[in-house]
Amino acid sequence: MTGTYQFDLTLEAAATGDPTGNDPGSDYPLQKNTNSYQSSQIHSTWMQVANEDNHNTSEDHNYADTMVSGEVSMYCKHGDTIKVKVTNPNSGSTDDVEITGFNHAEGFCEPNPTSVVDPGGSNSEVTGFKDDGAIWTYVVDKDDLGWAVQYKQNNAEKASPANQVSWLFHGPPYSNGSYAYSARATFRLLSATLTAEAVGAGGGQIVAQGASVTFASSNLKGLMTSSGDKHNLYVALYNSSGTRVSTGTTGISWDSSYDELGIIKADDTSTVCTLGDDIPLGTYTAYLSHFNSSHELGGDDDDTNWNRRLASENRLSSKSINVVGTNVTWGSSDLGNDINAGSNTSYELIQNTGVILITPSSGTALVVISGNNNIKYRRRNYSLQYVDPEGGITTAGNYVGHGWDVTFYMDGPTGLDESVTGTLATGERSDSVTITTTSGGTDTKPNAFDLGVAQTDVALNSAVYSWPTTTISGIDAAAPVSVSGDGDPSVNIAGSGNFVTSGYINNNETITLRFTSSGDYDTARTATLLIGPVGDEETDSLTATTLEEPGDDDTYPDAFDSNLGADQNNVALNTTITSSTATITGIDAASTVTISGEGSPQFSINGGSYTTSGSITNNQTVVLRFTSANTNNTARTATLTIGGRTGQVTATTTGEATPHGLRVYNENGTVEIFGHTVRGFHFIATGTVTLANGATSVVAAEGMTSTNTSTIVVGFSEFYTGTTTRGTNQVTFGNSTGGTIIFTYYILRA
Amino acid sequence: MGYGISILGQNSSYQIDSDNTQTIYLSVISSGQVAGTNNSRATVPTTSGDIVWMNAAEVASGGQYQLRNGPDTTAATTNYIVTRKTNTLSAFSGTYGLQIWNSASPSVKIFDSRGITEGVNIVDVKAQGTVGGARITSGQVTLTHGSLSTIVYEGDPTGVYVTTIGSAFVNYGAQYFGQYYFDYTNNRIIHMNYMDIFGNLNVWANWSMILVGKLQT
Repeated sequence: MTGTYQFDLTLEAAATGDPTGNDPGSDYPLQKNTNSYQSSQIHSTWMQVANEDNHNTSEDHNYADTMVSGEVSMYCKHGDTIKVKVTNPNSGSTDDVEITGFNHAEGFCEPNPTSVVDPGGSNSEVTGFKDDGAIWTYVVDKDDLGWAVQYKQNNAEKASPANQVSWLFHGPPYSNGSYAYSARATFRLLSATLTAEAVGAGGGQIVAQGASVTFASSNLKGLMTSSGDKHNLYVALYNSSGTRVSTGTTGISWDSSYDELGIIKADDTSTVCTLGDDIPLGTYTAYLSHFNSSHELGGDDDDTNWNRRLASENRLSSKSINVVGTNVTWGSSDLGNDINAGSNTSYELIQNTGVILITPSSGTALVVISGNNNIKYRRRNYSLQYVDPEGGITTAGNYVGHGWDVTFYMDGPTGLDESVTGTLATGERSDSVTITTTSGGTDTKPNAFDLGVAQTDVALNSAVYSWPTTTISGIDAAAPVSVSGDGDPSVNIAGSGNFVTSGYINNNETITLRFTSSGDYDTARTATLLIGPVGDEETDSLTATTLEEPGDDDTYPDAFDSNLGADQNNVALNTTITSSTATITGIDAASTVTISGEGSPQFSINGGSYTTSGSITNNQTVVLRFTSANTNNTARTATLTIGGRTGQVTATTTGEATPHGLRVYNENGTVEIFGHTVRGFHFIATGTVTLANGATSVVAAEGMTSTNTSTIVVGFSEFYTGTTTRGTNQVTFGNSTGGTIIFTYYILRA
Repeated sequence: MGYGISILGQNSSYQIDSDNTQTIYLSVISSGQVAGTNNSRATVPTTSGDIVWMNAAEVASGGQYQLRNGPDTTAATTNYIVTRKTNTLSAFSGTYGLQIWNSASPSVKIFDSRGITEGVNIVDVKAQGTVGGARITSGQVTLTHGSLSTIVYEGDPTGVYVTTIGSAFVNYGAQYFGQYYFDYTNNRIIHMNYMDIFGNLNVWANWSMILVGKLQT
């Protein structure tokens, strides 16, 4: 709903300063409204700016209070109608001069006057208006520019404060520069959206009896900083009949409250309401209301009047919630089968309920235990944090929430041929279990069992099941079952469909282990199943490893060194050595291939050309080659590196041939310095040639042929630009450079 | 062969043939190490016609060495070998050993065991125009000549010598002719043959033969 609010302003004389100059709120002393509050007039409630409170003075209860000194002000909201009635007290006298309103150029501006019903008949600046009791009216539109710009100063937009506008009224200037009379009304636009979320897992607007719900204001705009009871918004809850529910009848309470209302502030935008256990089921509506404005024309000014806070025209937003009863179930169907503990008179039962589901999720359930066999319970919340100490408690009056679980502890009989029964209840859900001992004795250690092979490439955070289903044998009484390990392991016994963390299994019954895989890539988790009495149990484990992370390519191949073949011995000198063909496996992305070593090693991928760098993919082949040493008994190794993994082939040249020819050793007789295994070198010719352009020079070169370039070679001591033509026992130098060249040549034999 | 002596090594490689008239064994007359600086270059004693080999011993400087064949200078710590024609060696005293003279007229002593106290074992021969030239800056090959490999030798450069015929450095811009980068990091010797005269770049293949050898001592 919207409201209609009116200020009555009586202009006074003797104002000074210039309202059309700078900010009239700072250097222009506006006159405070002094009109008495009457039944036909609005009481504009107190408003204030920070550190300025003009409310608590006895005399100004009778007129609009100030937000800015010397003016009237109030909160409003979209759709409200706001009015200003201006009275010139000097009407009919010599002071009965015109009034200027909506001076758009200076001081007053938006909301744009075109949206205001101008009593003077003009939608722009009104000058020359003399009528007493004229009323300016404006229907608040949140989209008007003025709520963002507010006013202009010297024709420049001024943007502060936000969500606030002022209207200025003044008479003509006196000759001394002051103005006859003036007043200003200021309005502050409030807006907010009320939200409601049930406290606890799930949230939502369906709330269980006894649960809590958080009300909050979103998009809160226009509310000033709270000061005591001022500048607050209030939340109240109403039933479907429109009756406000309060503490006295329902047990409702608010974490921050004013009496029985929740409070929203500019700096604290939420309030928590706890519903009483006896609140009737049904739909309720919460309203967010603003307090700091009058609720009606002619209303009172009693601050403690509830209607002042909750009047329907003051409501900014609403939100409905549905209060419902609770339904409680266990992840496990019950506490398990009754137990035959055999001759074990020290039997201890530890049984978990599995996750407790409460509908609605905001609900809670009271935990109750009964029995006299050292029964205890231990609660764990939905964040998997234990609420109670290890070993459990017997404390009464504790609750569990949605998503919690409870571990139930109970001792078996201490004597043979006895039975004990214990009960656990969470709210409406309860179950009992009986433990019996017998004097006949039992064999509860099963034969060895197998949970199947380790599982790989398992999806993250997924359920892992042992496979195939395991059948337990070799026991003649119910054997205790327990699990351990990561991933919250549990077991399904005898195909019950319920996975429990402990229980009992009989001979020839099946069992399946389940746990949750890791939430990280390429990570193993192992769970272990134990069957049989402690200390005499049979166990087996199951490991599941999650997928390799996408994009984390494996470029490190399986070992391939041996596939390149064995090292090669007694190879010929200076010959090409070729490895065996190796197929590269174990990679799932292209892997970089490099090669190193002596003898100009190269490799070929998939039969392609030989190279010294490249990449290879899974199941492609690779062959390497290099040149053996040109000396005897010399090893050369070529090392192929693929994705950081290496493979090598070493080739060792043949040993020294049978000694022959002429050999000269050093003076110690230890090193051959001339001989058939030492490739010496010889001088053949040298000389300096001056060669004119177009000329040639033939030089004798003993032993030279056109092809023996690896034994008889030619060099020049300087930058040689001529030509060299090899012939038989000679070389021809030519010059076609265009000029004369001079060079020194060397001809050597190696 | 008419008369005299002919000796072949394994794979019928040439050792000595007195039937030849030009071919003369090159003996090692000296070897050692010199250490110069950029402004005070060391000198390797040689005479005209000597063939000088070098091996860069100083690795910290990046492996760029300035060498020139006669007079040979270097600005870095360098191992060197000087080889000389047998017939120009100083006369030896004594009557031991083996001399081989060729069939020229007058005959020339092409081998004298008394002049051999060290030897060079040729491990590779690079003919003229078969090795690309490289420009090396900050230890990286930044320009090469065509598609020819610029690698003279692959393997640990320790104890590996190369001939310096045609090696020169001109201190105008940067002109590295017939020089070598001994890359101990990547185990290789790279041939440098380029001219960079203030941005005007040229790179050539080797215009002189390159012999690669190891000192036998």
